[in-house]
Formats: sequence, structure tokens, C-alpha cells
Amino acid sequence: MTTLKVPPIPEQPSEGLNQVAVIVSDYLSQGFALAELRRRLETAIPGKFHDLVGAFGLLAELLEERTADLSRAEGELDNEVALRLDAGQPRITTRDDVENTAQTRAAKLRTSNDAIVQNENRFRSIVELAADAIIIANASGHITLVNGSACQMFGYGADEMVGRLVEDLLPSELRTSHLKHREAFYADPKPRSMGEGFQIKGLRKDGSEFIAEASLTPFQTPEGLTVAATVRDVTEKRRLEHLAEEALAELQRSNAELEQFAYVASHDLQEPLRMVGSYTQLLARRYAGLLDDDAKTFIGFAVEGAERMQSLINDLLEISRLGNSGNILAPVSMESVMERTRLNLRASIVESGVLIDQGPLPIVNGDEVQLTQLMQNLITNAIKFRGHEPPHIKIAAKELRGFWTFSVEDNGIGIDPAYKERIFVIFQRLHTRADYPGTGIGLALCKRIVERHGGKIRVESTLGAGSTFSFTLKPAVARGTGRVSTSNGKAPRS
Amino acid sequence: MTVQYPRRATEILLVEDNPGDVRLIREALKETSLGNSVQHVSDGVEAISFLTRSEPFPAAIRPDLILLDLNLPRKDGREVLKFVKKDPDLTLIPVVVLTSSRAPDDIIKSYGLHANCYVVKPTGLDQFLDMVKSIESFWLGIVMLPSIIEQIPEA
Repeated sequence: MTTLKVPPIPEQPSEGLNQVAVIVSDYLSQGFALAELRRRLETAIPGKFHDLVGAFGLLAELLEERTADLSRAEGELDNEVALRLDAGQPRITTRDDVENTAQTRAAKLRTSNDAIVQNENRFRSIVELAADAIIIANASGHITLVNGSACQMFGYGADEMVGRLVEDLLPSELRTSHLKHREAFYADPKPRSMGEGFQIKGLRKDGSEFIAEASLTPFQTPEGLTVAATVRDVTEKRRLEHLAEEALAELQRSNAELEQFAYVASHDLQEPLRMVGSYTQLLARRYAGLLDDDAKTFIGFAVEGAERMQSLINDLLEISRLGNSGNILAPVSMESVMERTRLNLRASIVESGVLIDQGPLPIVNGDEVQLTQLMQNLITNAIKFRGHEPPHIKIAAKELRGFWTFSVEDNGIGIDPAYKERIFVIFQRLHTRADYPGTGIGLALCKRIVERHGGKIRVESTLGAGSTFSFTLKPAVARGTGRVSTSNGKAPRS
Repeated sequence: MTVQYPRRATEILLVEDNPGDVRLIREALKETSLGNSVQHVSDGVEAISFLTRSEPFPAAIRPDLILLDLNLPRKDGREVLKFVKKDPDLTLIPVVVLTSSRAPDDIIKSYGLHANCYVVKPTGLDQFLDMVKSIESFWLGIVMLPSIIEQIPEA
């Protein structure tokens, strides 16, 4: 910075300096010619003019420097501003801009407020219009919100319900215990869904009561713990459940009685039948000499009838005995079942020359005696209904969806697919007794046994080519407990 | 060589309520070679009267063998069995339970009451007759009945 070199100013400004100031001021404001300025100055300060000009000259230089500095500074400022503008720095330049920004922001706030309100309305509608009754209560147990269904369910207007204690909606004798439950729930609030045994009675405005189930959803709000309850009137459901339970119990009772009856009846029928059969035969023997051929034929039919009836009764006894024995389920090795079966059928296996191919067989859950009966019947059938080729039976087991599926495949005469179901019906036969003996109970028994074990049995067959019987059994469990079910694998007898 | 003791005809008491079966049994026993005599009563009360020689059977002979049906009117076979085996005078008499019941319960209970054996009546005529003959040949022919000691001469 150039320091101004100014001639020393006298201590007291002279009259002459004041006059100069006036003249210069006049020049600046009036703008007369420089010559005029010089003449007035020479008049005012004679002899000091050159000093004055020198001082002015210095001032001018100084001013020029200053101006240059200012211009430079201004230039730098402009650069700075330009740089900042480029960098995106907000530049509130004017009051209008500020106002515009404020308005935009306000508009944005309004839009999001609207969205929030819309959402809230949407949720309110969902709650209000829900078919289930919804009751919301706060931490002190007072109702803060109810929906239309809740009002309908309890018979109150919404304003009558809001503010009441939840316990007001229960019969008086249940209020104390419910309060305890509620306090316990609030102490450890966990969402609880309907049907988790949380069953209560509701009390309507008109004094009537109903059985209700509720689900509870606790959640925290700024005001504290809030619980939303969905309530359902299950009076009708309970009534129907009771009816169903009673019907089931009655059915089981009736079933048991029928089975008992079948057992006793079959047993008692044996005796008179034995008399008929035995004495008809005795007659034929004792009086053979007195009987002509017709008489002998007639007696033959009678005896045969009696014998058949005996078979039927035996079979009935067999089937009804299944129901009477509440055998315990235990792990059973199907391989030992097959060993036993082969032993029991030794004679007919040898006589028929049948080849039995047996794959590895698993351990299942069941009754060994009944399962042996099952295999015996199936193999007896396979041998009985053999074709012209040497009989060949294949037995296998494979695991399918948690069950063991067994198959007994033969190369016998096969079964017409039209009778696939009928053959499992008791006493249904597809052939005459002359062609193939038997009462037609074998497969009915098999079906009963399999179903009592919780499985299913079916047959696939081609007439003339053979049949494959398949049935399912459950694999063995670690602890052999439980009973063979007594009605198609459903509820076990207690 | 087995010692042969001269034997009188074996006295059999048949306790059976079905006349058809009574006749069949008699017919079957008739055809056997060993001598036997069959007395018959048709219910449990008569059976006990007979065995205790009370009215209407004051002169009843003590049987060597009892064939006992289980399902009898008035007193049933199980009670007769119990009675016979409890009475010191009668307990030695072998009792063959002869019944149409296959029920395991009946089998166990009968042996529990000390029946000597349990036989189920077969359904076929021939099997029935064979069964009776088997009983006869075993109990009368092979088995030494307790009552045989009456016939052993003092040594």
C-alpha cells in the first residue's frame, strides 16, 4: 500500500484551505473548465498552487491504485461466486427465492400428509369393516377402539363400549379370574392366536351370554402397551363339536356292540349247525342200505349246506374277533411274519410247487398275529387262483411318503378290473364253488386288518396275467405303545 | 412188560345239556373196545347231586372219569368243576372239559380250576367221533386212573 505523502498540514487549517475545499467541491458538482479551476485556485491560494497540484497528483495516483485493488477484489469475488454457483451451493439471493422454496416444501408436506391420512383411513376401514369383532384396549384394560362387528356382537353402540373395562364384557363370575389372566398377559405379552385354549364367555348388553374365542395381539404405542383382540362367537361351533363328539362316541359304542353280537351269534350258531350236519351224515351212514340214490343225493346237499354254513360262521367269527381284540401295537418284523406264514402254509406250498420270491422286508408297527393272517390269506389266494404256469409269487416292500408299501404279485388267473373293489367285500366271490373253494372272506379280512393298522389295500390286475395286491403299513416307532384302531384307522378305542 | 390189572368197566359221568351230543358221544363210545358205562346228567345241579350221592341220585356210583360241558343251565360247568376239585372226596377224579367254546378265557379259567384237560368239540361228524374215541383210548386205555388202586390186589 502506497502511503500518501502529504505535505505537513498546518496545525490550524488556514482560511485558504477552506476556500480550496469550496472551490473543489464546486468543480465537482458544477463541472466547469479546468482553466477556470486553476484561475480560482490561484486567486485563493497565491503561491501555494504548485504544492496543491502536487498533493492532488499524489491523491490521484493513490486513487488509481485503490481502484485497481477494488477491481481485482471484485473480480475475485465474482470468480468465487461463479465457482460456488457451479458447485450447487444454494444461493439465496432474494426474498422471492426464499418464499418459493418455502411454498414448495409446504406443498410436499401436504402431499405426504394426505398419503398418511389416506393410509390411516384405509386401515381404519379394514378394522371397521372386518367380519370378526375387534376390540382394542390400553394398558389399564380400558377399551379404546371397537369395530362394527364388536358392537353387533355385544349389542352396544361404539360410544357405549369405548372407555369401559374389558371385564365389563364378561359375565360377572368370570371377571376376577379374567382380570388375573389379563394382568399376567400384560406382564409378559406374547401374541396369542385363536384356538390356543383361550376361551371365555361374553356378556351381551341384553344380559345373554355366549362362548367366545379370542386372539390377542399386543403392541407398543407412545401411550404404552396396547392389546388388540379379535373375538369370535363360537357358541354354534361348540354345539356342533359336542354333537359330533357324541355321535362319534355313539358310533363307537354301537360298533363295539355289533362286533360283540357278531361274535356271540356266530358262536351260538355253531351248535345247532353241528347237529344238523352230524346227524344228516349219521343218517346217511347208518341207513345207507335203505336209501336210494336220490335220498343219498338229497342228504349230500343237506350235509354240504351245513358244512358251508359252518365255514361262513367260522369266517364271521374270525372277522368279528378282530374287533374284540384290542391288541397293542408293537414293532413286528415282516420277515418273521413271512417265516411263520411259510410254515403254516407248508403243505399247500409243497403241493402247488409255488416259488415265493421275497425281497428284504422291514419292521412295521402292528399286531403280529393279524399281520400273519394277512400274509397267509394273500398267499393262499395267490396259490389257489393259479394259472396253468408254475405259480410264482413275488413279495416286496418299498418306502413311500413315510409308509411301507408291500406288494404281493402272482402270475395267476388275474382279476377283471371291474371287480377290483368288489373282491374286498365280505363273502363276495367271482367264481363258483365248484371251480374254486372258499367262502369269499379272505380279502375282506385282509382289508379289515390293513385298515385297522391305519393302511390301505388295493389290487392291480390283468385278466389271465396275474394280480398284484399292494397294501401300506406304518414303520415301527421307537416306543411300541398305542392300540390297533377299531374303526378304519380312525379314533382308537380308549 | 406192563403189569395188567383186571379192570372193571370204566364208569363215565357225562355232564351235557345237548341231547344230540349225548347221543353222539354214546354212539362213539359204544364202538370202542374197552368196557365203559356212561351215566348222564343234563345240568350242573344234577351233576353235583350225582357226585354227592344226594337226591335224586342216592345210589349214584362214583365215576372214574367226568366229561364236562361248560355251558349248562342252572349251575354251569365251571361251578361244577370248582366244586369237584375242591371236594377232597372228588378231587382226584379226572375231569375232561368237553365244550364248543374256543374262547381263550374259558381255556385258561378251566385249567386254573384244575381241569385235567380241555377239549373243543369238532364241527364235523367224523372228527367228533374220532375225538371221543381218542378220549376213550387215552383216558381209559393209556392213563392210570386214580380209581385203579381199588382194583390192585393187596401186595
